[in-house]
Amino acid sequence: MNTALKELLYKMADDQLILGHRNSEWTGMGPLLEEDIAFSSMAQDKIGQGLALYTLLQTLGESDPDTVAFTRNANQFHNCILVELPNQEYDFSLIRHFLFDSAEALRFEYLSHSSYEPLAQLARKIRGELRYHTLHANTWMKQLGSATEESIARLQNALEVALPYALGIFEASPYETELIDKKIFIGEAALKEKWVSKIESVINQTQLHLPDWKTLTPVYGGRIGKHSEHLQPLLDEMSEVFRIDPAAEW
Amino acid sequence: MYGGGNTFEGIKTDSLAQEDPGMLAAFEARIERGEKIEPSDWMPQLYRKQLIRMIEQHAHSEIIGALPEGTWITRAPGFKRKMALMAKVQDEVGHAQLLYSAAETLGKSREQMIDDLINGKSKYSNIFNYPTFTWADCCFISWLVDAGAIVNQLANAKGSYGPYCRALDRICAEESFHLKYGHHCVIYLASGTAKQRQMFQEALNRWWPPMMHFFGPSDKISAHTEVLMRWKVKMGTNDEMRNQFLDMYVPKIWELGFTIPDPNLKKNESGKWEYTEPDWEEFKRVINGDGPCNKERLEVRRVAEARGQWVREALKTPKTSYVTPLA
Amino acid sequence: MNPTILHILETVKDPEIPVLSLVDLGVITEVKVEGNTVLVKMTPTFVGCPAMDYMKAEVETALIQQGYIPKVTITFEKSWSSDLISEKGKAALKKYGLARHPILNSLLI
Repeated sequence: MNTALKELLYKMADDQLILGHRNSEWTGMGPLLEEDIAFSSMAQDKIGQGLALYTLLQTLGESDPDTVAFTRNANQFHNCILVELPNQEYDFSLIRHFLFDSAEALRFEYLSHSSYEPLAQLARKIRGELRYHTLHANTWMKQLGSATEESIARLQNALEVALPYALGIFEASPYETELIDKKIFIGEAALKEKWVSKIESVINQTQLHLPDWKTLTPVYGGRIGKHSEHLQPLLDEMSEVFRIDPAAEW
Repeated sequence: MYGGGNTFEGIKTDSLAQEDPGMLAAFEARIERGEKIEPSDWMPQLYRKQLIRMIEQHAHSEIIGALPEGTWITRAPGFKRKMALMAKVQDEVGHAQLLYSAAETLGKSREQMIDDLINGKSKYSNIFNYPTFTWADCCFISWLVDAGAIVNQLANAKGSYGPYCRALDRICAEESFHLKYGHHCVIYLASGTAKQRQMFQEALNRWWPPMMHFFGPSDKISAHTEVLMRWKVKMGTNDEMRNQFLDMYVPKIWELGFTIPDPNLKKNESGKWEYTEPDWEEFKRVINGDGPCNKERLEVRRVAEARGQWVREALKTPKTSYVTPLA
Repeated sequence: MNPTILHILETVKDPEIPVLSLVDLGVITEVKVEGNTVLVKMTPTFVGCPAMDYMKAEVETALIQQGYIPKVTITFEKSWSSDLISEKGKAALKKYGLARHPILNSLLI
């Protein structure tokens, strides 16, 4: 069971850490101060959640969270590619936030009933935090997705760019059956199905439109360590100080 | 994080002659009694103008001040530091939000203030025009620049303008927690490896001159501020603030075994600190735009504003408001 | 909660909001007194709260100063939400000018 569980925890922890890192890049750069603050809050939540998941992994025999987060190379990370893409303009960041956090909120909702109690307990906490993230995303989607010609066009374009990557969130793990059988997790396929209807219900309240799902090709690879060219530079930056002396205390 | 030392140009008190003498006397009597002035109260034009200038500079200092530390969020070593630094820098942006609201109660809009910032018309704390080369530079800011700001802000919190004082009370509570974080970071560098100690010593060498500038020019050459002191806009002279900072923090820096790069720094028999006179020509040069990072800092702000333009436009449709007034 | 212990814990304030005690903030979720030992359970307001270690240390110090032996654990057993802020705490926050969640602050409702 441990191998399957660890794989699940790693990919979720890595997702949180990497997207938290990207969110934190908005600090001081946001379109308005309120958004600087909101993205920073979400960054803190995500990185904190990542830390809690790495801490859970430590109880299963993995290295301490700092070592795991700050010393691995890109091919050892299991996050989906969506979260590692650069922030680009605010439109892309918002769309990613919406697509990813909608999936997250559902994922941790399901995990709060996991048969693995330590994860269920943590998921109940994380679920509560994610409610604010989806509320934030949905409100902004509804506002900007129906406001000006420019805002609608920008979001539409970003949505089309991001969707194939968003489908990569649900790249199946080699242990799906085991996780489902042992009632640890509902599985990526079921999660994706719920997510699609969630996304549709919000997009339908805007002037944006979703392409036909069948025409989309998911971008996979992240879950097995095959990443875009953007992840390694992110990790190099993240560990720049830590690597000066990994044995030192900072 | 604001040093309050940027009130550099002289103040023209001519406009005071046009104020109603009775109103002016009543206003000054209220301040004398320790009352707070509120947004709808009568106030002289000069008071309003000076307060806007000061609160606006303070607010700008918070958002520009978020940049040199902010660049280290993505590089902070380890979860603990990363989480704390993110929260700290977020607080600074929150301070800007509070302060812009406080200044808006005096009749200048946030948009106008930000325009004046990116057009170079209004100033911010000079110290943020210096670069953070290493993690230790970031730690210097978190500890000592915050400490300097607290010295100034605690004094200003006893000032006369209600909304600014209330904002400062909240800001000071948060800053005192930041200060603990910054101090911890430096303690770890001090008690760490030779390399870590050296990193901080080098940061201290780089940042000491701008830190001395932080509180503004020496009283000997400083512009006339009597009226601002009487109105409790300015709560202490630049030299008083600097002396208070030195008194509180020089012993702490020495305690950690670091060397402050000023051979003349010592406390004299009367309890005042003596030091090599800071280079005020450099201060003037930097504050007028010719510092190592002035262009970069404003450019970042300008780009952020330009890239966010379409978002702010889209928020106006349908008409919405996102500003919560403080008062 | 044991009134003596409650009184001690009420002296420990949120590190950034001096008007709010940790008890009123709702992060202290359980207190048990066994002789001289006080078992305290605390939960962070959010998973990554950087002030948690600090708050834990403050609780320990406050108890030690009054002659108790503290055993403080941080747990997610009971999740914090703003519903756990006491009425007294809510009133203090309102007076202090803080009522909203930072993420929600940017919302347009």
